[in-house]
Amino acid sequence: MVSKDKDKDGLHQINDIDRIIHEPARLMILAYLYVVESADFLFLMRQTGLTRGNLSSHLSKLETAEYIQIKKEFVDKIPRTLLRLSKMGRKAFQEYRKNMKDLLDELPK
Amino acid sequence: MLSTINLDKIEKKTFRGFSLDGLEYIYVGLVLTLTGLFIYEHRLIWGLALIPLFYWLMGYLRVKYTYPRIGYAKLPPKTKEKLQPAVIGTLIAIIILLILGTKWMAAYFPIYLGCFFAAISAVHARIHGDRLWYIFAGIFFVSGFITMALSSENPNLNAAVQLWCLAPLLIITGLVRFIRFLRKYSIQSGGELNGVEG
Repeated sequence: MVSKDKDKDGLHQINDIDRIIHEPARLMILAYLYVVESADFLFLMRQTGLTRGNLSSHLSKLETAEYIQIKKEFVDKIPRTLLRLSKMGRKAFQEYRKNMKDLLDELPK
Repeated sequence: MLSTINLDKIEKKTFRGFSLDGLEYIYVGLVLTLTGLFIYEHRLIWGLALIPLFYWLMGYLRVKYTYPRIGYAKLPPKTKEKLQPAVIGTLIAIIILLILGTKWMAAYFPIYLGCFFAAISAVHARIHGDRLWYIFAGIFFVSGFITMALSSENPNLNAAVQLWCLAPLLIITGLVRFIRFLRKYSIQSGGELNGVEG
């Protein structure tokens, strides 16, 4: 049983990792959305190598967490799903990166 | 999993993906052709007006052929800031040219032109991660010296010939890439473009 009066330092920080982001597929999705202003579904599918169903499932989870915004539009009568990081998602990703970096620095060499 | 993510690499990979279609090589080749025409015969300045038209055409071809195959992503404003050094460099190059004057230009213009395009290519390669532009930077750089060695007495003709020799290299490279791109990536069906349900 972990002592509750311990300061949250060292490896205990692992408990605070954002589990929405800390899944490899979702981490990849957010990383690609972080470097672009917006992207469509096909772009993410090509870049991440995920299957359509798999990508769709992860995007739904990210949308539920309000980390991404999904907009459906028509381009030349073809439906297109356009995705972008929300402000909350961008901030969460930045915090995740910082926390992971701090955590890795804490690990014994 | 427990590793930092290199966003620079991801960004470069993202934009390298769009250069796979070869269209920007074709565009630059056409720009060099028109620039050569203008340098050779200043009365053909109207040709430079085709440059924005070609840029629009590249965009149209991307919408028609590229995005249905590999998807679409919008460049963020932050990345556009990285192009500022290239724009500033271009302005400096023009100012240097004006200061040095036409006499120097007549003697060394091909070298100057070669260095200028080499610098632009190298910057482009650095930002977008497309290493082929480094090779073209080397070709541009060398072209200036080769042109000087083979030159005629007409400096405008020298520079124009230099550009007209470089343009087909770029256009052919672009066409080969475009054909390979069309063969490698098939158009995704409508269902693939509209992924998220609910």
